[in-house]
Amino acid sequence: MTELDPEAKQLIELARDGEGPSPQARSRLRGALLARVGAGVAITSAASGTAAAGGAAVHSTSVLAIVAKIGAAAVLAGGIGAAALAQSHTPMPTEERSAAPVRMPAPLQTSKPAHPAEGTPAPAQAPIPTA
Amino acid sequence: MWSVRASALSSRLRAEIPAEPATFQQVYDTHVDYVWRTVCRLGIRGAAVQDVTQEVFLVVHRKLAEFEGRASVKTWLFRIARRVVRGHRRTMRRKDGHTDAAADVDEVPADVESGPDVSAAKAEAVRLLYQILDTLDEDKREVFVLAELEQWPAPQIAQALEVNVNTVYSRLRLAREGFNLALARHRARDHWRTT
Repeated sequence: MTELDPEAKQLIELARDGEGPSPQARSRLRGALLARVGAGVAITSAASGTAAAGGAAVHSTSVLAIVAKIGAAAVLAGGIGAAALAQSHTPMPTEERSAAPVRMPAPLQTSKPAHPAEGTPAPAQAPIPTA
Repeated sequence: MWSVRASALSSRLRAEIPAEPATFQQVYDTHVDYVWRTVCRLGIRGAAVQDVTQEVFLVVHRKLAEFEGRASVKTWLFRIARRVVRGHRRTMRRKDGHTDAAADVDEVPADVESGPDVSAAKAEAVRLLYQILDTLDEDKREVFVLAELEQWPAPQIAQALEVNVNTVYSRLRLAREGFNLALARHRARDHWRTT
């Protein structure tokens, strides 16, 4: 195997001591790297933060909707219960009872007409799927 | 940034090589000089040294979690540096045949402990070393750098370069011949100039 000349070995020894970045270069490199990698981390954090915020918004929206539904159901049930109670505790004369208006809950507002007769003919009823 | 953990480091690696760094910060702090030196030795010059070293560490930051410890961290870093250097060189070649500038003063740190003469001698030695390395072709240069400058054994060089051990010996022989010849030529020119 060919060996290196002694002069070449000497050169390598001397050069090895003198290699490497200067303190200024090392500091610049660290700063530049921090900017690049730090930005990446910031982007990741921002993205995850946005996702978390979005998730929280969706979560709070759904909670509000559920609370509203429960509240509406409670009010409706309370109203029906109170009406039933009032009817059972205050007997009315027969004539009045027959003439008493039947309280119907307000129809739901839908885009479709309430009665098929008012709009298009009623479609054939789809069969109810069985479980 | 500095706290990215190499979560994929296997427990086997942790047990066998406890000294191996596990965080990006540790890899950076331990090996920044080695990567910088390697980048210079592989032929990058001037301001590009910082860019290429930075690029190497960006790859390290991205891939550290995938590091399985089959090779040493230094071998892994060398492979990354080699790929980044080759990519940089290709890009430079594509751009109007640009070649990197001569050695920057920043590549050679000022030696404040030794006197100015010793510091100048070291700086000159580094310049001459890089100049001679530039005369070797890529494959021989890589083997020479790892064998003569990093003092790695042939099997480790073979692993880093993904070649046969015999190929390493063959390239090293040719690289040494080339290095001796280039230095002799330089000395002859130098001697001719001074006489």
